[in-house]
Amino acid sequence: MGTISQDAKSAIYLARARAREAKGEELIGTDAITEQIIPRMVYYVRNFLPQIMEGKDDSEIVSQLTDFLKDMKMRMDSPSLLDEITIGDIWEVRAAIFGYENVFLEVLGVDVIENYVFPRIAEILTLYLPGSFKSESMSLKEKLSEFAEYLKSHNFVRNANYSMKGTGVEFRANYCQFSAIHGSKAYLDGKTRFCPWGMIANSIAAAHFKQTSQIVNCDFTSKGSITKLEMVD
Amino acid sequence: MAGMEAVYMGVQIVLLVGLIFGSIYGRRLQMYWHHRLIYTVMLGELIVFLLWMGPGVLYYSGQGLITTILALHITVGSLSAISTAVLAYTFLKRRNRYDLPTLRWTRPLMIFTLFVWILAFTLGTIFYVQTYL
Repeated sequence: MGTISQDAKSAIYLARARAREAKGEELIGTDAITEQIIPRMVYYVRNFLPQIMEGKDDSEIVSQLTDFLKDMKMRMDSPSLLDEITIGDIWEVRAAIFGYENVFLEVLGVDVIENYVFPRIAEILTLYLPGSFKSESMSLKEKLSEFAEYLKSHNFVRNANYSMKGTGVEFRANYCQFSAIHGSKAYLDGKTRFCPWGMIANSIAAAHFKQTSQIVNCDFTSKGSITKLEMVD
Repeated sequence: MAGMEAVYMGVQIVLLVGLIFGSIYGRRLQMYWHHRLIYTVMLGELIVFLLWMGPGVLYYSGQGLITTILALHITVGSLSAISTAVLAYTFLKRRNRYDLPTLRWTRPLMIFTLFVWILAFTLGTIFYVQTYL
């Protein structure tokens, strides 16, 4: 697994699981990790990283994932430790995120996710946005353009763009580094999924308007996603 | 009659440009324009086929290499038409155009259709130049 640039690590720091973890503990209790998240992570990791998990039984994977989460939490608390993050780590974080997402969907339902969890996640992510995304002198178009360019220049996606109509924003990301999971059984079985790039775009819009931004819809294609956002009063 | 052929050829060029732009919009996931352009091109191509290419082939009586090029054009064009029909049927009958399992098998077919369409256009252009110019 190769290493990635410092700027890219900042983006991972931005999109990391901590926001969801904080929300998860608030909503489903402090034992959520061992009782809810880890069992689901095992499922997702087996689907997303079959080559790494081959030949291991569930207890070994549980132990490895628990250590991974502890290690990742420590690194998140000390950004300097992010230097050692690899693409493999990012994939495991992705599995963790799906674990949380799955718990939210199963335990709380889609309506709660859309009307409560995601607006709160947008608020939390807003805290981690780089300064330029909070600037009042930049228009939302400039901010979203900068974000799209960032994603492309760091090879997270090959194509990213957006359009705005009234209070609505459509953010599109195609040929995504993580789109391999779109074809996994775990993913195809999912009822509702939300693109992390769309969620960050959502937080940028929320920070810009200083009001709640809601993800209306997130459609996935085999290589990308289209996220529709709407400002709500 | 040659004047009419030039008009049809011009329409084909416009349709090809529409197809290329439609595919670019598709790559950018700008689906509003992707759908409108691709469905317009499909309808335009159907009309051109019914008015020009279909009857033209029925009454064609040439010989030699140009006939081989025409045969290739018909073969490749038929492939393109069949894959287009499969895609149109698949997406028009679905309410959810973003059904992931469907998108996974239709994406390679879309790319295949684009390439055979361009190949059929190229062969058709060679035939047109040799026959009418």
